[in-house]
Amino acid sequence: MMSIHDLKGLSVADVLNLLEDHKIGHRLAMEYFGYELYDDLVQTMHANGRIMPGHQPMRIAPETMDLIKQITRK
Amino acid sequence: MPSKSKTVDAAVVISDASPIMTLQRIGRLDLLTMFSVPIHIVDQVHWEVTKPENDPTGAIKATLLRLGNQVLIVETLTGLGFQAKRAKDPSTPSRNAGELAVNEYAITLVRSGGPKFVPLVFYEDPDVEDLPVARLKNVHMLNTVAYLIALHGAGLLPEGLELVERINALRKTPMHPIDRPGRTKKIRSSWIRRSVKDDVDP
Repeated sequence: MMSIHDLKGLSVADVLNLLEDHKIGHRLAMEYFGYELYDDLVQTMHANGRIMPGHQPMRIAPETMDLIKQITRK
Repeated sequence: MPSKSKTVDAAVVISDASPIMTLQRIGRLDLLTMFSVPIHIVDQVHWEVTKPENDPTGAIKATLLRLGNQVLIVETLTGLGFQAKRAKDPSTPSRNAGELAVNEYAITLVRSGGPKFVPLVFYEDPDVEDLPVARLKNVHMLNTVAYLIALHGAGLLPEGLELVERINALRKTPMHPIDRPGRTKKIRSSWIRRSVKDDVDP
């Protein structure tokens, strides 16, 4: 199991990769970022265009998808 | 993280105005020197960060001068155009001219550089993420908070997380760290390297 010591010298992008790939847990990531709130970690993942492991992207309603297809002619 | 892409170091840092002014507000302009590659500041950003309203004590100007050849001030069409317009009308607002100049210069560098050449855009303002440069695959995007957190994580800046708290205390909303490496089929950019003794390959 990895510890905060194993994250030494890694960039924010590296740590987010490890979290996204299930190689570290959210508690260790929160410790790296100095976060007390889980929500802060989720927001950081989203701000970097990622989703938390185990989370699903927001569902797009079929009506919305149809509209997108019409607009983009796909 | 298994990856076939090769890790390359960002070749140059192109700083927007906000990181420089934020570091000045917390009295840590010295942290600009922690980048191991040259910092290029476009003329428009240089004008913004050193104008008396933003640099009343002249500390930013003095620090940039002291950094010598670590910092290069670069001319852009945006900056030259703004100064020409300002010569006609001194009340011309700069609005987002700094970001546009960063965009212009970064794109010019990417188009003239090789496939392994990745510039790093150092920024804070979310508007920068809407610029064309932020959508290029071989540009590294890094904000001030992500910079400080990584330096803290590397053991190079023990007070890094406290500095992040100080920055966020000066803001209406907290700044979330953003670190988006340049990434193509062949390369992935990095701006900080872990010690060779470490054995984790992220």
